[in-house]
Amino acid sequence: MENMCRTADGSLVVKFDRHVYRLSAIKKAAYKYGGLFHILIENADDFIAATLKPTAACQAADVAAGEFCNEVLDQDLREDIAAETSGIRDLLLAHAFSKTSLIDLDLETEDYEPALKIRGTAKPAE
Amino acid sequence: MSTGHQHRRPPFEPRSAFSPVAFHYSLLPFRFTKLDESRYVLTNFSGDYFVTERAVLVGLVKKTLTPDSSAYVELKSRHFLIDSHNAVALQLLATQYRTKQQPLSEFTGLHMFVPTLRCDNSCFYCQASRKPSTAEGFDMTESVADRGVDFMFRSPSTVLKLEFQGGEPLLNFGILRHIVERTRALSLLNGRLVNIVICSNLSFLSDEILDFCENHEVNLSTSLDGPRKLHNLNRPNVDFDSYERTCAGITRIRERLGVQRVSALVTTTRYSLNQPNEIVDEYVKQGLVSMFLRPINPYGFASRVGTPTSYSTVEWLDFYKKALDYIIHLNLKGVRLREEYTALLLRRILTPFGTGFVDLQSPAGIGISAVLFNHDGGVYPSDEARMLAEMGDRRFCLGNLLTDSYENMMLSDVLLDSLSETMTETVPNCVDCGFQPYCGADPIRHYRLQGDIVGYKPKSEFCQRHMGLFRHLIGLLERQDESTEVLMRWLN
Amino acid sequence: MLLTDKTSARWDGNPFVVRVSTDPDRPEPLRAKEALLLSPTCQTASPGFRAYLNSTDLRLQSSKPEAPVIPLPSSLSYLVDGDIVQIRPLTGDLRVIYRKGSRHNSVIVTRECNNYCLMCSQPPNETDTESASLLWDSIPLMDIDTPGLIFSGGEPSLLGQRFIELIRRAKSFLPHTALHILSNGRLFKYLNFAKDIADVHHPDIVIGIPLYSDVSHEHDEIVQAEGAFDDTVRGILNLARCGVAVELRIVITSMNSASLKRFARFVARNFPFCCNVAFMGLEPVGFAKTNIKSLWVDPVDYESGLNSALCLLEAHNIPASIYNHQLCTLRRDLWRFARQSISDWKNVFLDACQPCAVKHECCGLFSSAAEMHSRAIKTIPA
Repeated sequence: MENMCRTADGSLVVKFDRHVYRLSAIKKAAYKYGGLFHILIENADDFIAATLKPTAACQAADVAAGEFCNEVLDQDLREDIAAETSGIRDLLLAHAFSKTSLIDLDLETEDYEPALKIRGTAKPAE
Repeated sequence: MSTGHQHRRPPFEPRSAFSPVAFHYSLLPFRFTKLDESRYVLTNFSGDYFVTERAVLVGLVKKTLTPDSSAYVELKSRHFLIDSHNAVALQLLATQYRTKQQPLSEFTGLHMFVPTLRCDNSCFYCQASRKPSTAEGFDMTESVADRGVDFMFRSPSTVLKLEFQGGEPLLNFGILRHIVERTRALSLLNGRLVNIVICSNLSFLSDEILDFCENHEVNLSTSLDGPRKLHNLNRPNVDFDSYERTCAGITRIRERLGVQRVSALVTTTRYSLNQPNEIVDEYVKQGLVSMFLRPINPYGFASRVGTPTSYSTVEWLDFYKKALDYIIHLNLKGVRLREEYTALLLRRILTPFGTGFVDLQSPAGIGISAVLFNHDGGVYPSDEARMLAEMGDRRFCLGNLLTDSYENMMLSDVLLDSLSETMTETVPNCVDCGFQPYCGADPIRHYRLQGDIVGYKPKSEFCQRHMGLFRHLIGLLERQDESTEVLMRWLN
Repeated sequence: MLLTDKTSARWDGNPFVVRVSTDPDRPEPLRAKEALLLSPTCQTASPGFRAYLNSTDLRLQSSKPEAPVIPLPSSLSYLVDGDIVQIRPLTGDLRVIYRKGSRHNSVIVTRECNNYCLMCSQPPNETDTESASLLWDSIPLMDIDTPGLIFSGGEPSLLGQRFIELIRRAKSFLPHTALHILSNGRLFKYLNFAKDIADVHHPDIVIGIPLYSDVSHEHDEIVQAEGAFDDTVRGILNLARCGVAVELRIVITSMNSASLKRFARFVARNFPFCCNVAFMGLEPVGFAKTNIKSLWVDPVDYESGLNSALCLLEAHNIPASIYNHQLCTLRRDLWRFARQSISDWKNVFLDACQPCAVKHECCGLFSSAAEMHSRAIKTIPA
C-alpha cells in the first residue's frame, strides 16, 4: 500500500508497493501530474518511491497528492483494458477502413441457397 | 387461422436457456476519465458513453459484473463488453466508427478567402492584424482569386464551403463578387454544392450587396458581442456606432433574406464575463435564433499580455455555464435560441455521425478539412496559421497560389508532420482520455502557446476548456430532466 | 369479419386461386382465372369461368367438373369484384387472400419459419409447399391500382430465389404498389441475398424487421432462437449497405417494456438509416395467446418509457410510429405517432368507444383483445 510522508523542503514522498502497482502506471500518472508537481521516481526493493514537489501552480498539495495516487490506480486499470483489447482494437480499425468485411468474410461471398435447406426448428444450443 | 397442419415443435425454452454465462464476457476497447467527485465517464471505440461509479468500472474490468445487473445490460448494449453470442457487436462498432470518420474522405471542405486586410473597426482582440480602411497593398487581386477558386475545386469534397474573412471583406466587394460568380459557374460544371458565407461587421451592407446575396444564395455571419456598451467596448469604430451598424445590418438581412441567412457569434472578453444573461438577452432582442459562444484566440492583437483579452479558462467556463443555463431557461419558456457550439458537441457525443468542425478533429482539421487563401496568395492550413504569419512566424505557410502547385502545398512536410504527430488517438494523455472521441488536435495553437505542436495537455488551456465543456454537458445529459430535453432538441 | 371459412362442397383437385367477378358478360379471355359470383341479381352461370361461387339458395350445377359450383357460406358474402379467393377442393377451405378495396392486403409467402417467437400471431408450420405458388398465381390477378401489399409468413426469405422472383413478379404486375415485406432479416446476413433484393430495383419496397431488444440474449429469448439477434442485425446492416429500406418493429411485451428508451438509444446509434421504427401492441392470438400471462403488460404501465423512446428518436430525426395502441391509453402528445394499424377485418371497438370523440382516428382493438385490454380504455370527451 502507499505510504505518504513529507520531506524537509515540502515535498511529499509516496511509496508504492511494487507487487501491487506497476511502474508503468506510476510513470503515466506522473506525466499527467507534471503541471502540479515536479516528480522524481525511484526504484527500491519492495517499493517504488515517487517524490512530489509542488509547483507554483499547485494549490492544495495534499489533496493533489491523494488524487495522484488514485490516478496511479486508474492507469493500472487502463493497462488491464489495453492488454485485453488491443487486438480487437486493431481488428476494428482494419475492418472500419476496409472495403469488405474482415469479420464475417464468408457471409460476404457465400451463396445463400444452401443455407435455406436448414429449416425452422431453431433450438437454443445445449 | 387453422390450416389443418399441426406444428410439432419443442415447448418454449425458459430464460435461462438464453442467458449469457456469468463472468464470461470480454472487454471491448474503451477509455475512461473522471466526470466528477463520484462518477466516471466511459467512452467506447466509436464514442458512445456511459456514466457510472468507480466500483462498476472496476467490476467491469475485473470481470465481476453479472448479466442480471442493469450495468451489464447497459454496457452490452453500448458495446463496452461482448459475450458469447454477440459477435455482431464488432460489426456495429466498426460501422459506427467508419461513419464518424466519414468526413475524412471528403477532404478539404472549408475554403477561406481573405479579399482584404483593410477594416474600419478596431476590435481590440482582432487576431487578423487588420489594416486601416484606406491602406494600400492589402487587397486580393483577380489572378490570386482565380487560382484560389481553382484550388478549391481540386478538393474531392461533394459539399464545399466558401467563407470570406478579413479584414472586412465587404471593403473589397469587387473581388468578392468575382469569386462568387466564378464559383457558382464552376460548381454547376462540376456538379458540386457550395455554401457561401461572408463574415462581416455589416458596416457596409447596401441594397446592392443584399441583392447580390439573394441572387447568389450567400449567407452572412457577424459578431455581436452583447448589449451596446459591451459590443462597442470590444469592437470600437471611429466613424460610427459599431453596435448600431451591426444591429441595423442584422435587421436588414433578416427582413430582406430571412432569419436563417444571418448568424452571429459572441467573442468573450474580460468585460463579457460578468454579463452572460445580458448578452443572451441581446440575441433574443435582435430576433436571432442561434448564437455561438467563443473564447478569444491567442493570436494577433489578442495575444498581448495584460490586455482585457486575458482571462483564465476557468473564468470562461464559468461564463459559458451561466450563459447556457440561461439559454436553456429561455428555451423552456418557449424562446427559440440554440447555442451552436453546444449543439455541435452534443452531436459528437450523442450521434454516430462525424461533424465537419475544423477545430475539433483528429487528425487535426488543418489543410485536410480547411484551407485559407490570404490576400497576397499565401496558402495556410487554418486561420490561426495565417495569424501566426502576420505576427512574424511563417512556419505553417504552405506556399503561394501564384508560385506553388496544389500537390506541393498539400503534401508539404510541415502539414503532414503536424497532422500525423498530433493525433489524439496516440499522443500522451489524449490516448487514454475518456473524452478523446469528442475532442481534437490543435497543433498550431499548442505550437503558439507552448512551443510544441503536440503540447503538454495538463497545461493546455485548449484541453482544460474542452474537458470542462464535456464534463458539463455530460453532466447535464445525465440529469435526464427538462434541460436534457432542450439539449436533445438541438441535435436536429 | 372472417377471411376464411369452409364450403360444404368437396371434390378432387389441387388448391387454386380465382378472382371474383360479378359480371356474367365478362370478356371470355378473362374468365379462365375468375369465379363468377352467383347471387339473386346474377343467376346466369355463363360458361368459361374457372369456378362459380353460389350465394343463392338455388342448387346449381356446373356442366363441367373442372368448373365447379361452390356454395358460398354467408360469412364470405362480402366478396366483390376483384377480390381473390384461394380454394382447396379436398377440404372445402375457402380463404380470401386479397380484397380490392382494402387498405390492408397481406399475403402469406410461406408458413415455414426459422424463428419461434413467443408472441407469434401466425405460428409456423414445419412444411409449406403451396403458399408460394398460390401467391405466384394471385399476383397477376390483383388490381394494378392496389396502393400497398404486404408479404408475410412465416419467414418469406426462406424461399430464397423464389422469394426474389415473387418480388420481381410484384414489380412487373403491380408497378405502382408499395411492397412491404415482413421478415426477421436473418438470412440477409448473406450479402448476396441483400444484393439480389436490391437488384430487383423495386420502386417502393420496405423490409419490416422485428427487433425486440438492444441486447442479444433478450431478443433471442423472445424469438426462441439462439444467434437470431446477431443474424438479424447483420441482415439489417446488409440491406442498408445495398440501399434497401428497412423498418424496425418492436412488439412490446412485459419482457421488453421496461427498456424501450434503451432500445431507442441503440437504434439511434446503430441504425440511424432506418426509415421507421414501429412500437407495436400485442395481438393476443396464436402463441401470444398461449403465452399471454408471461407477455401481457398494460400500455399505461410503460407509457413513460414509450414517451422517452419516441422523443429520443424524434430528436435524432428517425421516423417512428405507434401501432395497435388505443388513443386513450396514450398521452396526448404521443397521438401524432399513433397509426390506424389494425386490419379492418379484425378490428373492433368497445361500448366505451362509440361516443368517443376521437374514435375515427383511433385504431381500435384487435377482435381477439376484446377480453384482454388496457384498463385505461375510456371515452374521450369532445
